[in-house]
Amino acid sequence: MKGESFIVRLKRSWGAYILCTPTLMLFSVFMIYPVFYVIRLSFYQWDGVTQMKFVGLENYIRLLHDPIWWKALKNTVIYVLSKLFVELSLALGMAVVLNSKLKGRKFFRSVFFLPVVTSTAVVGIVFSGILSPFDGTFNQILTKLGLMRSFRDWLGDPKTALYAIIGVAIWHDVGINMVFFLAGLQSIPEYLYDAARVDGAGPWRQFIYLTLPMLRPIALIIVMLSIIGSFKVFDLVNVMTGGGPYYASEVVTDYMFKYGFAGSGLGTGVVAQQGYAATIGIGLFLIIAVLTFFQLKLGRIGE
Amino acid sequence: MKGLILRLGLSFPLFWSSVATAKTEIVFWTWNRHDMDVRNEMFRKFAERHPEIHLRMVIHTDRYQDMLKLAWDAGNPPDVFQTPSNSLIVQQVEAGWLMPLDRWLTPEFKKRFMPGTFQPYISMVGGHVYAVPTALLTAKLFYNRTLFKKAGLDPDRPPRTWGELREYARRITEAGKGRFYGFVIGAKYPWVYTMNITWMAATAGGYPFSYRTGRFQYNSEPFKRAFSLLMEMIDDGSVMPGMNSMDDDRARLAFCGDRAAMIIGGSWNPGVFVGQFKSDVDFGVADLPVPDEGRKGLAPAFFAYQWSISSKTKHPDEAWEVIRFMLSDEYLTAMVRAGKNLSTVPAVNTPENLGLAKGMKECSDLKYHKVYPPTPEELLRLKGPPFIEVAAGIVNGQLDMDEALEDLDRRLNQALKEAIDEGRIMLEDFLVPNFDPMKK
Repeated sequence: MKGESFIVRLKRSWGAYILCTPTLMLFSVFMIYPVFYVIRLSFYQWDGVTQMKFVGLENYIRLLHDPIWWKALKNTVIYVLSKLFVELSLALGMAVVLNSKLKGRKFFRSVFFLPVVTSTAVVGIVFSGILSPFDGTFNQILTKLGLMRSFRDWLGDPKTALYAIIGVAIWHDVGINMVFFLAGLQSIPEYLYDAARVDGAGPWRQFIYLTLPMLRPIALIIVMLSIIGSFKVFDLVNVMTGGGPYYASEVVTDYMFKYGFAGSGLGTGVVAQQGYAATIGIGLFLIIAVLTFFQLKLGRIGE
Repeated sequence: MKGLILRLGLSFPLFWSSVATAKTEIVFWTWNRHDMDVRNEMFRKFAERHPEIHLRMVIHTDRYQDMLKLAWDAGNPPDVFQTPSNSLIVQQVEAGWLMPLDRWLTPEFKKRFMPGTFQPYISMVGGHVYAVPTALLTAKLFYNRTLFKKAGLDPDRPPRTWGELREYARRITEAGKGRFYGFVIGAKYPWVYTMNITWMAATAGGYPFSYRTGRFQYNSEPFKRAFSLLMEMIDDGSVMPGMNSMDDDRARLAFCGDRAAMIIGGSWNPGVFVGQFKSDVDFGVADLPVPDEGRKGLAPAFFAYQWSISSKTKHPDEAWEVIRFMLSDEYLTAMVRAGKNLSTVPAVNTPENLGLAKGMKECSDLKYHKVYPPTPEELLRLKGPPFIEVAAGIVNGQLDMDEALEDLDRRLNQALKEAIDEGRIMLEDFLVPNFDPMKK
């Protein structure tokens, strides 16, 4: 209750506190501690091996003047927006269709969901083969259909690399958002549609004036999860192009990874710059935090 | 806190293994997978002779350095481990990871090795030896004899000049009609530009760091010409399509699958073609082609596969026993005979031993090779893209060659200046006033 001291509250609900303790401890060790550690690291110069050196705001100033960081950020934003508009529209469309009394809808629901349960790394490797310019299936299909004259190196061409990855990412993730939308659609009571039909609303007007507003709460969550998830994209980019050629498909997390971890083996051995990597991470964190804040604010408008 | 968690996590399996056996356990880490078969066989022999030592081998390939750092953070490093054969070894010495090996390395013992095996910034730091390189790797051109024959070229006459390389690649591609190509490079991960640009530039007298002036010099004619050669071959259509979405493994597979006729690589390639890929490709090995007007520099050779002892090991003598075995004639001979590498002990590199594995004899031909002195490049905190990324940008037309190389040198020299000012690097250590790329 309001005004109660901590001791009183502790006495009253000590059982709940004890039950929470293990989770809190794990949360502190694996979430809170690393966050503060990374913030601290961003003010240091450190190769991960020898002594750390405090450099103040140097890493942050460097970040602002780093053209590759801005390039990676721009690519990440393109990735986020493409996923947001293309993937979520597709997911909504698929959910609406598969929510109708379509024959075989259970089969299609499973099929569309299948890529979601496949490991991203495996998807990356398989699609690298499919998109291969020498003997890849994708090029063969396009040329057989007469859409292209010669094979194209989709992942190796600086102009198409990022978009090829986006295409694969949409294929991989559309299923999970379809399921979220399906859940939202199924929570809309049928009698509302009956009432709309009585009022003379056709399917399109029902979709615009009934389905969409009713989906609003779940759509907000889906959009937020999609934005946060897309900003954190790493595995697909790392496996399919490694951010190349020359940062053409570089995203922020992969760029952070390159500085954070020293390469091994021939020709790639360099000292890691973990302080700068931490700064890149903080930059990304700030962007996601600001976006999420505004999104939640906007979401409340008109509620 | 972090150390404690890592320690608890990583020590658990070790705890059980030490309970299970009363032997002294020596944990051995490497990133070499290509010679695993021979090493396993030799370690089995070691186990027979040393029943008191239980040797546990761990291989981490891709993220070896990171795993090693994690093990050190956890306070649970391996007893014997592979160290980089370049200036990065300084970092590990500074961190206090490595134990000096001087007490075991008697002058007699050291005499067995070829000159240069023990040198600063490769295996020595501050006058102490911290590692012993066991292999010498060379830069070579590999060519597919089957495809040479198909294109009407003499399979015993590989290209000797850059002009010939380009011409052969063009002719083979023409003969291939889309089924096979003249040249292949797997540039998905841009480190391969070290082989295809830096090594080629060496034959034109180019090297990244001027040992005379102590300045970086990527922005120089030899490098620009090496870039131009590769770009011209790409423009000719002689390079197998998809170079940017293919890694070096896939490029080597294309070579072994008779899809590409020539590839530049290290002397580890025969071991990969035959041992790892189990391919029966009919290949030849040649020295890197040189500029049309003649050679201006020797191709690089590298010391490699070196082993160090952890400063934290509880069993230094047993750890040394493992390294001693890996430096023995018996062990090194097995590696050479299996075609894994040329040994740093010349007595082992006999024609009989080298002649057993396909391509090994040619890979070991050191006539046009030299071990370039170490450079401080690996130790620098470079701001912005490193050479390999810049190379990718140039080759793909994303960067202007002159501007990009000038900018790279400027950033490298700036990072070098910072390292010197911070006292992390002594420039004098890297200067060789009478350096000549044509002299061994």
